[in-house]
Amino acid sequence: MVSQLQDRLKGYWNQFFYNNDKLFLCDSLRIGFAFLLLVNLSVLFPNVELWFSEKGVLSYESSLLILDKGMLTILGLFPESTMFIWVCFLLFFIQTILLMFGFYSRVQAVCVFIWIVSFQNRNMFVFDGEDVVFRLFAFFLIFIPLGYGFSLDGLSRKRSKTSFTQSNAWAVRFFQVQISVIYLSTALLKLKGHDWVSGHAMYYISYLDDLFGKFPIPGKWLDSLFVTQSLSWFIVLFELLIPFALWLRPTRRWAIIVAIGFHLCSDYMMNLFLFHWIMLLGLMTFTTVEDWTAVKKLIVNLRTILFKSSAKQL
Amino acid sequence: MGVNSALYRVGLSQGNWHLFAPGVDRENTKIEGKVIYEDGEIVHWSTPDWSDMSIVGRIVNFRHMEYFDSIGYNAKYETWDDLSVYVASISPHPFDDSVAVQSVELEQLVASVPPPGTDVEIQRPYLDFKSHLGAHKWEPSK
Repeated sequence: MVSQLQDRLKGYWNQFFYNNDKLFLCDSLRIGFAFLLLVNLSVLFPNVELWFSEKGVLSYESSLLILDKGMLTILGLFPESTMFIWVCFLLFFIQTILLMFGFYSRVQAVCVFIWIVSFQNRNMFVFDGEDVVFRLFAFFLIFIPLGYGFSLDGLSRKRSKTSFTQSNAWAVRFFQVQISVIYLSTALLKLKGHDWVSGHAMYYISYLDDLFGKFPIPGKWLDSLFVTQSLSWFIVLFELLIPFALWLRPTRRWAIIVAIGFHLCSDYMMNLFLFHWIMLLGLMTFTTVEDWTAVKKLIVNLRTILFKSSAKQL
Repeated sequence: MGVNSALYRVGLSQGNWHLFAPGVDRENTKIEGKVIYEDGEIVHWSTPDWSDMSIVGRIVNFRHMEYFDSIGYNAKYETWDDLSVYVASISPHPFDDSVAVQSVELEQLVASVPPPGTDVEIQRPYLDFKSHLGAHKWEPSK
């Protein structure tokens, strides 16, 4: 009886971590992550000295006061040297490009993680939740199979006729668990507060000058308390249900579609920089080969319909 | 060494996922500064008006928004001293570069969004900076 249970658990464990149905995603994750990180770094680039050097708004000594004990940064080795900060930043930038092109991918992934930690710890004031997602994703990336498709590593493997080794994409599960934790954790926290339960949260958010109103919102529908309340409650409900719906086979595909819609709409309304895009990248890990085949089919069908209707008009 | 402490050390801490929770920001803040020179000249400085910026401007200045938001809720005077030094460095004397800075005064202003159901019609974004949240004065050591 016990050994049967053990075998069954072992089976579930192996099925969960080692069935390799996520192998096809690994290089897309690497490229998508590196691309988003490059956008992130490009925005930091003009203000590297402002945020990270002694000439800027936060000296290294003061930065230690806002750090938790034990948090480390390479930038603390020579904090007075602006040149050193620049060298670190340029290395970070170059290694992110190399990660995108898949050149010694695993080495770049390790280094990129160390750079992210170092820069975030040097000035915590300029980073927020999305940067935590970047940091954790960089860490998970170290453990997934890298450099097989769309990469220079893959090319050199082909040239040297080295056979592709069987790799396990178990670490992709980390991305999935992390995404679920983010939704569930924030939903539970929201339920603890008053603003989301009363439904007034979106009302207050809609009056913020920095984070709200990225693109114009037509009409005055946000003036209706009914609308802002419904939006607030929908968000909590969405964040509460989606972590479960993403894991269940019958609801998974719909959950992904709703989540994509949610993040795109939020990105239209709010200025949260790359938060929604890094979440979309994480959501991608819930997709399967069949989903992408269905998307391809849908695109082909749409193209055919559009082509036919335009041909009729002519 | 606890799990949290170990995670902090290796860069894997994540804390709670606040994301506008448990409560949301109910106010907009801005910082206004005065750089006072020894000859009595005053140069004014202020955080940018985010709502006046284009979409690209808001994206490019996202880190600035984060910084001013974070420092606004941070009481450590050393971090405010650093900001004061920076403000002084970007606010030169209008006529005479040789005049030294006497002091920098920073003031944090807040526009608290009235609760829903208020009869008064309010504009989006809410920029009625009426209350005073805090002030900081920095003087260079001689």
